[in-house]
Amino acid sequence: MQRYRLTNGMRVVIQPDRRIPLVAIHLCYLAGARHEPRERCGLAHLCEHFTSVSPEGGSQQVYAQWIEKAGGLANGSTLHDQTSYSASLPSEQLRLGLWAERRRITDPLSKFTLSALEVQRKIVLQERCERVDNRPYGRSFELLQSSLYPSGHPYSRPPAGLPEGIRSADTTDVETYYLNYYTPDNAVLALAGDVSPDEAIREVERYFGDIPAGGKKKRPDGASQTFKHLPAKSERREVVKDHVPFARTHLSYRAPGYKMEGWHAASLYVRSLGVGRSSPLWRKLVKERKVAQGVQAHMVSMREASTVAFVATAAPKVECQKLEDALIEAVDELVVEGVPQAVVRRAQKKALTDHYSVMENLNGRAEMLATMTAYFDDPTLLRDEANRYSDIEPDDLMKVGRNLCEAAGRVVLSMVPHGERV
Amino acid sequence: MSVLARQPFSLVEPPPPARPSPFRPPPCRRFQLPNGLRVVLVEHPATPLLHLHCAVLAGAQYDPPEHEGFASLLMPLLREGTAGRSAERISEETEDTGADLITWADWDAGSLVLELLAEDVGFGVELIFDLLLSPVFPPAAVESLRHKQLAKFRQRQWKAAEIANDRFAHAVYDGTVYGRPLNGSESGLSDIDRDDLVDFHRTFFGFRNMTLIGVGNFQATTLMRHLESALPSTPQGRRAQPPVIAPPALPGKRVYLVNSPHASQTELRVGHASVARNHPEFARLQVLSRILDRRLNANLRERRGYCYHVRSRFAARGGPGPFITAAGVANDSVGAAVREIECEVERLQQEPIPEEEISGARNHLSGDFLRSFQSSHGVVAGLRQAAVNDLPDNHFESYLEEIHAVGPKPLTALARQYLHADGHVVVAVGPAREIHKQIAGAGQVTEVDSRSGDSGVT
Repeated sequence: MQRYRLTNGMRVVIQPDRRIPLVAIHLCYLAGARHEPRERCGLAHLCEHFTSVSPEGGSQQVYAQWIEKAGGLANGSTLHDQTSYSASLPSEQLRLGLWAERRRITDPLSKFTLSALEVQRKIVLQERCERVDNRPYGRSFELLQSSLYPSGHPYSRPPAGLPEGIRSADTTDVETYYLNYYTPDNAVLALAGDVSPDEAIREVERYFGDIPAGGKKKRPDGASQTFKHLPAKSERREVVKDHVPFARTHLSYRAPGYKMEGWHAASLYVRSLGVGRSSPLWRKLVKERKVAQGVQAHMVSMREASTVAFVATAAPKVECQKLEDALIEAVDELVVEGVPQAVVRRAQKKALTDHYSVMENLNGRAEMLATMTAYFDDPTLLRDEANRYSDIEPDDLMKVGRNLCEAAGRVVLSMVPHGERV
Repeated sequence: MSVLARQPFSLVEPPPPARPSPFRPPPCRRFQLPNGLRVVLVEHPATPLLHLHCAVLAGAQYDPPEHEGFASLLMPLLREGTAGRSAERISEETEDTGADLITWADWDAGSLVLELLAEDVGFGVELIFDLLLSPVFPPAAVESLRHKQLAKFRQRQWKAAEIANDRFAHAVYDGTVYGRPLNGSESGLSDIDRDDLVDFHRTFFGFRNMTLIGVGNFQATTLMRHLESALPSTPQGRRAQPPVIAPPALPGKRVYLVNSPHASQTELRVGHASVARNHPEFARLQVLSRILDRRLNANLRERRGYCYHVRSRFAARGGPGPFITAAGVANDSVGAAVREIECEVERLQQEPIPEEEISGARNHLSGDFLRSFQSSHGVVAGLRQAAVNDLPDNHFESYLEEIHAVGPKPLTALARQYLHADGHVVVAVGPAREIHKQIAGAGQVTEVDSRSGDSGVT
């Protein structure tokens, strides 16, 4: 693994893997939904789409076309903390991939047409429909976030955007956001695959080295202030009627940010409790009490906090209240009882195979390298990833569980079918 | 770092490619054991993982006629207990090793998949064949899983995309196996009993009807040694003969509307029955569908903003799978989207396809092929498709040769022969109040309910 920093501040990390002639390119900007003005929820997402068109292509997504014609696959994603563009290409097309990203960062948005923005706005609204609004339980994560984090906190807003925010953003908003955040000193580029580090850095220098740094950009980052003053957690319960077939309860907590102090232990605790059919939660709710048809445990991580959710879907004819009570009781019991050593060992091994599965794929690896560099300025932390789980002693998890699953800080969200008594 | 000497470049013209690195798919080692089991192994030392995948020719196309959803019920029941292991022990032993155990069925085959650390290869081989050969189908588990499948069936009725897929299949393949819901219906699942499962298992789960695929960080000789010591050498079972599936003749365009009054978007499916995976033109049709796919994205998504995704493809199945275009479309643009899809199909049939588009499609498919080799998942998927469709051993190589050989005139001829806009089945799942009038222009609209397993046409 090789690391560089260009004179304009862009950080670069390269990991050669020459098994197949393929290279993954992952360019991330520390520019996500948390950096949007509060009333423009969806601006970062709209900007991700808008920067994928180009002045000569009208509303066409020329970046994806360039990449795909060359045998590649391109994608963009907007999260709370970052926006990233990824591509995997036959390795002889590395230059094309870098050239396309160079165009994205220096093509002046002011040349783009208003009609192109209108088309992208429609696409972003349809994406929201597809992923959130037109899908049973699709709004659950948004609802959890808005309850777990105080109103106005950047993590309380969805990165996909809200319809009113997406509709109200104009070209000036998009351009201002773009100019503030899409700069080399705010970016990390990761390359993984069939590359020689010396040649690759020469190409990176060629395409990105002459771009001026962002200078002292005014980069509003309300989040850094807000996190310092994140109010004490307080329990909240919410029941939402929706177009869903069965009641579903989410029992949710805040946890440490991505790979931060305590994150691995929290992740292991969540896995121990609720991942797999032999997990304690599955045993209690599906097999013994028969109130749920399935139980899952999720941990969605942002840079400075994670959202943990234990999710149970009611068995047919089981009412929401019964499910909700059973889920809370089961988690509370497990916090007191502790997790058996064998269950923890199982979760440790699963965490390891999951990690290897991500690293097997070049895109997954490039994304991990970029994120570790962006958040910690140290991609080598990935080398210790396997040990970070195996070093945790089962006894230590008792304390983790008590801290994580405090009743005072939990959010209980249930989604129930219209017509069901609640 | 110090500033390196920068080479100049043009911001207008994309840079040319460097000299391509040669790529040969990793060698597949193929064996057939004396008991009839076919084995395909690829050593793929990217990470310490091993992917074991056993495909049994016992997919939904073999479901007993009165029991739709049979294969989808049987496969997960394999993990509910064997002669030597309880369901609980199976879960615990699997999860103790950090492994993932997955079962599923498609039309062609049932699959049992174990992803684990390569150091646990012996355990993996022993477990996978214990589940495949010695399931006991405990009555309580059969009943419990049936209820679970019924619950899943109910959940599907709330997912617009699933309703659209089921309704499309029902309309295109009416009266054939492919017209039935893959995962079953209330009527199909309701009276399957343990004896049915035991009979089906006895018929289809012999070694001669199975292919074991192993991809990952292992040595083929080690894995073969485990196989030989874990399995009997006596031949078992026979290879299943797939049923002939003959979709009804195209009776002209048909439009079906499923009313989903609260939907914020309409799920649209457009297409018809087409060719099987082992059809000689299948690879070249992939080039055609890639060109159509790119054009639909350029038109429906990027020019007009009607949708976030639109995808067009020839599905790979043992029998004549569908040619289908799928999109989630803004409710006010459904009629226009159907017209544009038809226009793009007709344009492929009437106008020569520029060489640049063909070469882009070829490159993209070659790139997909390359990407499939970066993880054991991708390699397994390709090998499974070959195994269940009896593709030749050199199919990886011949696929690439065929997509690179096809030119503009044959592609236009393929479009004329294999695309039939006048025989499209159109299915729209969305708010009838908003979309009925829009799609009336595409043909006579029939409003149907969401359950393709039921006959209710309103």
